[in-house]
Amino acid sequence: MSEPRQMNRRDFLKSSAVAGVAVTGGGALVTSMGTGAAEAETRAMPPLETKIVKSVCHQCPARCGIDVYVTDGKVHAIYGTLDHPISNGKLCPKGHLGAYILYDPDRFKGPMMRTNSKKGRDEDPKFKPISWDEALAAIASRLNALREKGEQHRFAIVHGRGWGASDAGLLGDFGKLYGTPNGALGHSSICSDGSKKAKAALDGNYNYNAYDYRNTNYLLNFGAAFLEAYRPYNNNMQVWGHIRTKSPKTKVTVVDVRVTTTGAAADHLLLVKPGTDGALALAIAHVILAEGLWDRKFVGDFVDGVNHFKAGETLEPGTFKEKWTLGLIEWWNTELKNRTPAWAAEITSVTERDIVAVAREFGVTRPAMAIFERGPTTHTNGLYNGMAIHALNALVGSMYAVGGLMNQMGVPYGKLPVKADEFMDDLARAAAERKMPRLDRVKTKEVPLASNNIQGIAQSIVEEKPYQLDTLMFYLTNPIFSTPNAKQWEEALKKVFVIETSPFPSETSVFADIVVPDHTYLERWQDTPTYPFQGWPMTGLRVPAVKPLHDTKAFGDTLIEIGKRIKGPMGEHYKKLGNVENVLRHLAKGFEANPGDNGVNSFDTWVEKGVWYKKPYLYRQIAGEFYEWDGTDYRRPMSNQEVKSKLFPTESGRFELKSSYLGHYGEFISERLGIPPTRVGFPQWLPPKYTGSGDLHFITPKTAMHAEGRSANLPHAVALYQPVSGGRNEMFLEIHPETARQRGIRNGDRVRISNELGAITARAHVYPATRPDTVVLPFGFGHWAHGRWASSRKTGNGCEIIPNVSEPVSGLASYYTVKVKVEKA
Amino acid sequence: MARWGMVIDLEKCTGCQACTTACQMENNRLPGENWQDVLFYNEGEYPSGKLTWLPRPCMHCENPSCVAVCPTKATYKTEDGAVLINWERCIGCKYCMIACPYGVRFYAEEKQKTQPDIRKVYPGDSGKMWNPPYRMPEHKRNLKWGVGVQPKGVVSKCNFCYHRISQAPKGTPDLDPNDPKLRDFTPACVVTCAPTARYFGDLDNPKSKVRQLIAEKRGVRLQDQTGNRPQVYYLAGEAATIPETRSVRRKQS
Amino acid sequence: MNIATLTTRSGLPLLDFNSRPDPTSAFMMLAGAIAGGIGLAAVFINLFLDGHAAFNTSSDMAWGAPIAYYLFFLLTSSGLTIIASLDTVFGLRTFYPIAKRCVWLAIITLVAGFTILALELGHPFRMLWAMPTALQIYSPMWWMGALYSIDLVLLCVKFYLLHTENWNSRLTHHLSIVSFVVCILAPGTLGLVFGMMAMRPAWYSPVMPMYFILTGFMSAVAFVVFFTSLLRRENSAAAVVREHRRADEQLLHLYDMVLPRLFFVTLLAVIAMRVGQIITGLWSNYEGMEAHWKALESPLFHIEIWAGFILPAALMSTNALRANPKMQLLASVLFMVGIFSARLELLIVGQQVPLFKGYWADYVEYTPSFTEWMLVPAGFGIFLFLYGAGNWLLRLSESRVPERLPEPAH
Repeated sequence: MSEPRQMNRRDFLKSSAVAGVAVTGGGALVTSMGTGAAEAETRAMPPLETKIVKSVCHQCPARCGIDVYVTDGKVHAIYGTLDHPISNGKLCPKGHLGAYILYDPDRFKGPMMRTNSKKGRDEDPKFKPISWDEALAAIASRLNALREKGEQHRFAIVHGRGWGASDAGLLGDFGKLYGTPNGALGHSSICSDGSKKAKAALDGNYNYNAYDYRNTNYLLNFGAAFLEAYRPYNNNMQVWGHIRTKSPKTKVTVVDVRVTTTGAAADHLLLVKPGTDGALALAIAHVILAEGLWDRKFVGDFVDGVNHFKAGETLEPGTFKEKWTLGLIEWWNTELKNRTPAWAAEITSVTERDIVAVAREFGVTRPAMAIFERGPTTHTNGLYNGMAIHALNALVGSMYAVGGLMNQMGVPYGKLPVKADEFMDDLARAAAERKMPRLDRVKTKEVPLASNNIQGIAQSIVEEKPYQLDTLMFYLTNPIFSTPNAKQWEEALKKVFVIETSPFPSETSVFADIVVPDHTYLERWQDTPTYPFQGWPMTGLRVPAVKPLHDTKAFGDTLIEIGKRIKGPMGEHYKKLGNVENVLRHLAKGFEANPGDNGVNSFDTWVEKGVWYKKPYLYRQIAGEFYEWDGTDYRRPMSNQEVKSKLFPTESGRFELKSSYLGHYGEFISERLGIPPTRVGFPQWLPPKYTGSGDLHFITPKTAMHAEGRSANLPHAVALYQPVSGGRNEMFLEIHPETARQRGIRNGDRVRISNELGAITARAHVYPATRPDTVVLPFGFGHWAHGRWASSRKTGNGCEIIPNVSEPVSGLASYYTVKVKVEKA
Repeated sequence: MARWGMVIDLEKCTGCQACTTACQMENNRLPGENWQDVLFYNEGEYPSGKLTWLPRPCMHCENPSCVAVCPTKATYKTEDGAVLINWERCIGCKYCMIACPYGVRFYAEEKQKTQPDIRKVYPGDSGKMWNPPYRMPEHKRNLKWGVGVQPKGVVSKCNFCYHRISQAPKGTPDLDPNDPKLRDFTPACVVTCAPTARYFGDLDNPKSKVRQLIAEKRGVRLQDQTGNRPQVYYLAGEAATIPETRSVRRKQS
Repeated sequence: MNIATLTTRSGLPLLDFNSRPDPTSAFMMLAGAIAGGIGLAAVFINLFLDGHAAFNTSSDMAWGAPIAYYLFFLLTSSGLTIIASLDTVFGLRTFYPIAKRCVWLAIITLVAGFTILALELGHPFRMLWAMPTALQIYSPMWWMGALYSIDLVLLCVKFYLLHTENWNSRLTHHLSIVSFVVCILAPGTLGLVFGMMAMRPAWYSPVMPMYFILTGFMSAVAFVVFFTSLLRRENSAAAVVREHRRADEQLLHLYDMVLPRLFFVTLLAVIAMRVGQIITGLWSNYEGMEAHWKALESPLFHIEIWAGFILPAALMSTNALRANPKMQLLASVLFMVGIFSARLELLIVGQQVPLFKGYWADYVEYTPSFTEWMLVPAGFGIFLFLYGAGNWLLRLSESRVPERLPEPAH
């Protein structure tokens, strides 16, 4: 790899100036008396050149551009990149700690092979260092053997949050060329597939939204930790500083099940009973309609111009002329008419007064938007909770409007130098024809509609259904710690050959047979196309700030190197592909025709700036009409057909309040969720099915210090868990005083949290603002093999007592439906 | 000569603690040795529990009680308004820690609250308390200003990133981190503050943004009754409160 | 020059190596050497291994047990100097027999206190140049350091003068006056070190100097009662007479009447003052004062009040009890334990309510670490060894009935 081009900055600070500055406060005496060894040391030390490498953070999915300060080959500071649209020179608390991740003393130093054939939580793998050649050869020979037997499906790669075309983006071709349906088993089903599916059902876009937060005047937030863990966290906070001091000030209502900084900073915090967000959203929709507050330009109006929505009363479909929505009257008749605030108050425990007040505020303020994420959706009724919330965006006309929601545009990357299709051999083609089901059973009758089902893989392996797996490779995921019923993985990983690629020790690595450690993010090349942000396309580039500290290899290169060692044309393909840097150089060729706003038009300029982006977003809804950017403004009117293909890719080309997508799966949904097939398309109230034998809701949220699993071993982060459940140095179980008192628990007591799956322990933090029916133990801190700081924190891992139940349509694991018993340990 | 001061807008502050970590990494602090800390306060009960927070750097007081009590003049006030510790004069008597009404000082040579002790992982040499691999380049370290990895047996605290602000062009009214020319002279916490809750400028310059904010948004100083007259001002806004000094839970179940 | 051959004016050896140490002195030197050796060794080893992390002090409880021990020794020292001045300054002849012993006790308590402080400071040797060159007149600690340094020098000179039989010289008298002033100012400024800290409400008090002077004096009385009653283990006037090489009513009067009464009366004053503090603390709503309530949970508080103050006051409440050397011994030991607890309790109470540490900081809990506890044998070991040595070599019971008193200054 060539050395990255870096901005050089001559540090003007002269050492003599440092030593010569007179200390003013104490007078001359102080200065003269202070002469000591350190001053001489300072004089002798010539100022070293500091280079700033533009890269991209990897501690959450936000993709903040970072300035990595490197002096004498050492990273000593990380700040946000000033001319980067997401970071704008700022960072979140995790961003700065990146240098620590690089120098983490617990990192793997190179490839290793397991020598202890016994596997178990307490079994030392007895790793033996091996060379990269040995490691890659070992993996390749295993893969070649499977391939020659025609059993490629018995090899699977499970990956977490990949970044772009240069890492997880390579997996698709790898699986295809190799011949396994399991080349890219994603983690999105333990992430946020619920909100994507809810949006797909209504507006046709199976994606997270982009948001125009800066111009909104009302933010109704259901369970998205906007100021803690919601992407892009750093930019959200920048937005916050703006919207809370602009004129008019953006009003914010947060609906959550616990006190968060987001909720505390907002105007209203409504603490709902877990899993009932949908009821609240429906009641808000009810008020908006009943009080005539909907956006007539987007939704349409009664033919006679008079509001006929009255609680409990059914309406004739013909009386209302809809514009961009579909099925409003049917929705009202079948669902909304009885969803009064009084009804919702019963279910959610939020008072009727508060529901009406928030509904009116939201209904009369424009622009307004309703956002939501895992809070409402990781429930058995998560899809319908999400739909009920997202429907509000239609009622207030915020889709594609100023201060509303958009969708993310893709990056015009250049083509790779080789096409996978041209390197398929007979073995690969035969495998494709065998049509073996995926290991996670996605797209089978069992999980027909979901994208992924990572939480089902352990069961697949243990039960050897649909088949017996042979080799399992992990990239950026540690499901043995993070999926529901996490302990099942401990049985599963005993049965397969495990390849772990993490740079750090993890619970997975305890069960690994071979470890081929990745670089940390400050050492590797990687493209990072943005998560949905502000709609316009953007992609950052991760540039190595320092040479790798240890004998590690970027995952993309590991994959390519394994590919090179597969016999036949597949090997040829990867030899031609070369390495990750070569991939990136080809991707960057796409910028030649599409130079970015910051002048990035080549690989070199991409490296220099760290990001390519091109504003503006191309589409906008203005007062119920859709326009496309004509080069200077949103002036080119869009036809209904264009709106359908580009903005609302539903069957009707509208925002469907009666989802035609779900309508096609009426029987399946009816069978799984008990909704009559005729009703499945409507956003509606579906009571959550609480899992777990216990009497208290058990919520395991992400916190601001949760850095993609790595913060647990950052001593500085450990000392700053803070706001509510965190404290300093230990993650606590947050419990209401009355709930605690009934169980004889005092503040600081060690408690046992249990249900039928087992028990974990934590110390109790008696916190009066918690819901009395809910206890909170943040996710990510109960590690037992994750480095010296992570593993010595004495807090249990909530995932061990969360039953593995998923919302059937989206496939999202229902983390927050679990109930537990809490008692003094 | 400027008289540097800071304004913190509590209405914008999100309590994220990026100021804390930016400071820790810039200044090579130990875990929990939060020169710039964010303090959380709780009051009330479900469903109306109140959670508030207060970022707390050193106040760099006009009349610093820590300077007055220091028997060796190791703690001193610079002409441009910073309160610094000369680590070559500090004898580690910790009287300044007693005398600071804002609890901003640390004597890091103590039992580490975050175990395992990171100093054992990166042991110090040549008088350094520890030696993290990501430490500040040696030529920037300045013991007279209390900048960089600290020696053993001395007291430490926020120095307004004196190694940065002391290099700012003379006469600058405000150190705005969004100005590429001034960014590297601005304190780390101000540079990184995502919601722009922090402003840093010359309190003696009537045209500075900090003076303007203090006037328009009625900036207040913490614990004004002490007479220390902090050079860090808070804007409480409508969404925020200045919490109590000491938060000891008197009611516990 | 052989130190053993130096003599005083009247030909007495400067260091009296001729006599064998009496059993008490020998025991004290041995016990002191062992305790001090073990204590210092433990402290040095732990400081070498862990630095000040060997202490349980923290940034929230910056001053802990070592400072409490330091206070204990230094305030006692000042009190002893006051007692020693009662005769040499004010001409209260009654106190002549114990004057020299008090000066020696004052010196060695200072030495023990300074040794402990040196082990507590981050850079004790730096202090030697940094404090004199700083001239920080705004710092009570600077004055405290300066005054106690002067105090030590004056005490040494005074002891030398007494030891060389300059009991009645003008120099001795004037020096004693200066020494007396310094020994009032020194604990006074030590009181100011705490009392001026408005940000520490539990300490903030203009009477803190007075409290320090008074309790210092009280512990000095206890020390004197303790060490003189040791001389009378046989509970006989004969022992006293033998020790002082003289027999008069005055001497017995001092031991049986004056010192115990002084003990009792001073203790009542201490109790009155302390009760005022406690009531103020418990009553006040002011932030930081809740530490006084927290103190009620601390055993230190109860040792101080009940064992240290109330019980000794009861033991010294009647003439009969007061004249009983065993009761004197018991009362003085109880008070010393009590005031030792009180010093630590005072340190904690001022810092227990954390300043600007937020919700996650509860009352700062503090118990001394092993290393900090080992400073106790270290300090007392040094003290005992030096006391035993002084008792053996320096004729501490020596006093001369003055032929003529210096004219009172008009």
